[in-house]
Amino acid sequence: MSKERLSPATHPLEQHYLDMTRRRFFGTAAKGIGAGLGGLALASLLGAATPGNPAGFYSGPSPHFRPKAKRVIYMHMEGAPSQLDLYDYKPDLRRRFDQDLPDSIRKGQRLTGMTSGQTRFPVAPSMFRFIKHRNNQDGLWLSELLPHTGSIAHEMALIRSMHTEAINHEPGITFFQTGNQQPGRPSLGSWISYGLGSSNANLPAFVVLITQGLGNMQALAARFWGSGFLPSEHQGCRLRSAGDPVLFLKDPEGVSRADRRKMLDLVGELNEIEAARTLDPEARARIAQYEMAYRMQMSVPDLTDFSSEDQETLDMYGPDVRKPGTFAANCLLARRLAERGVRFIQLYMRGWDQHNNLPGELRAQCGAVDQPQAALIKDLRRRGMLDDTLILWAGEFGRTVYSQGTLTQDNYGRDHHPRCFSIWLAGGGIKPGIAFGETDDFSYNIVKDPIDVHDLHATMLHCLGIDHTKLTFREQGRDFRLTDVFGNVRKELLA
Amino acid sequence: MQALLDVLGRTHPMVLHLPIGLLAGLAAIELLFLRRESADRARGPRILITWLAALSAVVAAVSGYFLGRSGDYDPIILDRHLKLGIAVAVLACLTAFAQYTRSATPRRVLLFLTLASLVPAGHLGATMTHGEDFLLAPLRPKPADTPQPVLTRFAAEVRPILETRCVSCHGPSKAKGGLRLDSPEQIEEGGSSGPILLAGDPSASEIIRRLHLPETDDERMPPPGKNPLTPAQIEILEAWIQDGASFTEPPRDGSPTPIQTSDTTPTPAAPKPMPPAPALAAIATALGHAEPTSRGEPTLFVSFPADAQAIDDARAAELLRPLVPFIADLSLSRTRITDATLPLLAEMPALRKLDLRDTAVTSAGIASLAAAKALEELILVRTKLDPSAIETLAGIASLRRVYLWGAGLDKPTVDSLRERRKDLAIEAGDTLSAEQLAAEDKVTFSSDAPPIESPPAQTGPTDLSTIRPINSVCPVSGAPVKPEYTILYKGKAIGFCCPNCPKGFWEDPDKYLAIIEGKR
Repeated sequence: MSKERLSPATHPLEQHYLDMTRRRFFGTAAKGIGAGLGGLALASLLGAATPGNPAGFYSGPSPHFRPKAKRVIYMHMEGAPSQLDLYDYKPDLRRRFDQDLPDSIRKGQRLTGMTSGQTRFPVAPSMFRFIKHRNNQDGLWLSELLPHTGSIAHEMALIRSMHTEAINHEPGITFFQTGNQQPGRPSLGSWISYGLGSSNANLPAFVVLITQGLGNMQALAARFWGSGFLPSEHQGCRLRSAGDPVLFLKDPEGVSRADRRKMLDLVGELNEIEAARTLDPEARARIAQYEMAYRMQMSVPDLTDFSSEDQETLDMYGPDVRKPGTFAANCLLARRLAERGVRFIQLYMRGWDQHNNLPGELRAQCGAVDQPQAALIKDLRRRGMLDDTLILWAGEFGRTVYSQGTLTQDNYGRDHHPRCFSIWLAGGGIKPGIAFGETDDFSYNIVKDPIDVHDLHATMLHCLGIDHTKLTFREQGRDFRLTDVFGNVRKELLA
Repeated sequence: MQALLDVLGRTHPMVLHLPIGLLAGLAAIELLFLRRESADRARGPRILITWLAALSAVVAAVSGYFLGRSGDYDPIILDRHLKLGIAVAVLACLTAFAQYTRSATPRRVLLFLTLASLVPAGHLGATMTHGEDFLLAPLRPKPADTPQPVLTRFAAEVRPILETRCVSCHGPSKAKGGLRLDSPEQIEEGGSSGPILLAGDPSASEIIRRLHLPETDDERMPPPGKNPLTPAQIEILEAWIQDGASFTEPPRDGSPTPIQTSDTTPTPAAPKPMPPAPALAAIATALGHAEPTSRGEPTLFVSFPADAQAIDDARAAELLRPLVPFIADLSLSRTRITDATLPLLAEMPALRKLDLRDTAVTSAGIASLAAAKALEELILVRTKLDPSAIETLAGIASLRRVYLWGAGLDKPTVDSLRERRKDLAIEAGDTLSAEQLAAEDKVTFSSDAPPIESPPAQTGPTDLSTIRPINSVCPVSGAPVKPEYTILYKGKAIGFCCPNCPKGFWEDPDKYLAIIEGKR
């Protein structure tokens, strides 16, 4: 194999032509031109490699400009938490209890099939008390359900003016994760793995941790962390909470580590022959993944063993930290992954889909996340890691101001609401202690500084030193980006 | 078979001129008979020429395809050239078929399209063989009269030779043999068969070996049939390699002035020193990580996240010493280094950020950082400091941020540093929480807020079936109203033809209301 093949510094198309030397082409074509052309067409369908770096000494991917953040921890609240009950403080709504939502607010906008048949849309103010916490502006009102999160108000950039295009969970999460509502594009973590590469040869660059919710749960598809058309080594690796963190990682009984090594060497040789014969980049991705799995046999047990954590740290994350798979345990695991140089750590907390019985379910959900997520921020801060770790806390959309189902003094539900919702960022590159954007009196429409999903992605990539217009991958004849043809870096959010 | 296809590919430069000439001739015939269609005396020759043009265009496209596969051409330009070439062949064939139609329009339109594809196809082909800017180069203004200062021996002696004799085939638009000679990095990298330079040994360097091969040898450079380099030029290259093939060495006294034969001699600039590749490879072998702080910069971020426990003082010294000038951001967290490594870190001129979290470093080690001139951020979390470290930290003038949580310092000690260095952001784990400023009492609900707009507050569910729209024609689309799409505005029920029209209505409700009321 020529040495260029190993260097990802080359444009994929150029790389392909370098591989496809005259001799190789005719070698493939020995049985007839047809076979050669077929092979060529097939090979062309398979993209290759990683974005290049023109600085000659270094062949791996690297940031376009000096980054503020080196890694991302993305806490996705699957099901869409209610902004009205957590972040978007609307005290005046309490005097409109059970009034109808005015048409001038709703403006005939679409509703989901779950409430479009309702005869009326009664305003359901939040039944929770709000508490004002010190931030770097004039204080931040947050729900009594998030007291610990309030204690990091001075670190957060709360965005109340987020909006999205999707109104249901699947397209909503797909849009947040991939920049497109249709499945098939690479996820944010895959783009970042592709754009920045791995800094730990023993662990995947993109790790996914899932916590089962206590409220109404929606399906969570593995394609949310899929690599789409990017080479498959960039897909997210899910660490399971029960049993082995990674399935099929352990050697079977009776197989020693030396035996495993011998087997991998042989399989590696066979794959190398296949790679040389077909030029299929997936053959090399397979070799790389076998090797990583071999190293992960050692690195994963060390990662998930909390015995080196002191009691004070464990207490900070709360009593659930000892139970694998809880949000507390996953937050601590996220910090340990961040320490080990993993680029993109994706946490999912399921169970935020409160169509009915919102007060009770929301209390339970917040009880599970509030202390651990605040502890994660504080733990990163005191260890000097928050400055180069970018934090995102977000659901896929928000929830309606009107009640789904019966509204009473102490119970209500809320339907999906894409037109405005609240998320927060913190850490590397983000302006700390601010609230950004405003919604109307009903938290129904945005009245100031709307931010869409592409803007969020562009801004996050900017913090990581990536120009979102330049991180591209050629597929089916055109260059694709995470932000497609959209996205503006929102400087107002940057430190 | 292979050889035959090879020959076929090489006929491309010959064959490609046939369709060009024939299509041009055809265009001339069409122009000549533009106004005399009925006569059409040229029908016979026209058909013959069109078919010859189509056939030769197909042959040119096929041969071009095989020539392009040699991999010596700029892939992007090649890709476009190939697509345009195929377009020309296809369009030429269609033009040939169109000769048999009664009307003249189809064949003329197709001929026009063929020519419209031919011109850019030909231009791109020429760009690949003659280089970018070949056509317009004579029109470009000459570079400034004042010679640019020549900062290196490479720029003074070697680059002019490469620029004039080599780069047309080993450069940005054509990289034969995977080799480019237009920048120091690419020269060092070599071609598909490996490096071309062996510093200090010209005779073992591939580039020199090929210059000396007999003129008939296939591997000779420049290739057989092109003018060889002069003995003087070869001597310059040999001497440069003999002296170490450096890209940074200053020009020699009395060195020959750069040979100004090219109109576009680039400004010679001293190449930035780059981190040595073997040192980077050693980091990777130790499962460490080194990456540029940003693209194109020679400064590095180095860390050992995968196998930190394998890094002790000896290993750290071995891995980091060759990279001392380049490291700007270094994390040794969770490694087994001790104070013994610190003096090496203090030597790093570009070091901005240093992470020593979870190491056995003590105040004695920190003392050597007093010499660090660029250090802005220092992480000493969970190290083994004593109060004497405060003296060192207060003395590092460039320091902007320091992390001291769990470093063995009590609060009064940390506060004394805060007192001495008010410009320093100090995080010692004692300022993690934001306090509460206010809290609401019990939440109570009422419905006494006045309604937002005029629609009377509805009490109890409304029976929608009793509402009749005041209009019969949709104000937005003009189509008949369907009563199921009715909304309330200013107490009036307004009907629409479909669920999409209310959106338009809300853009300017009063305008549409006026339309409705005007029409009633």
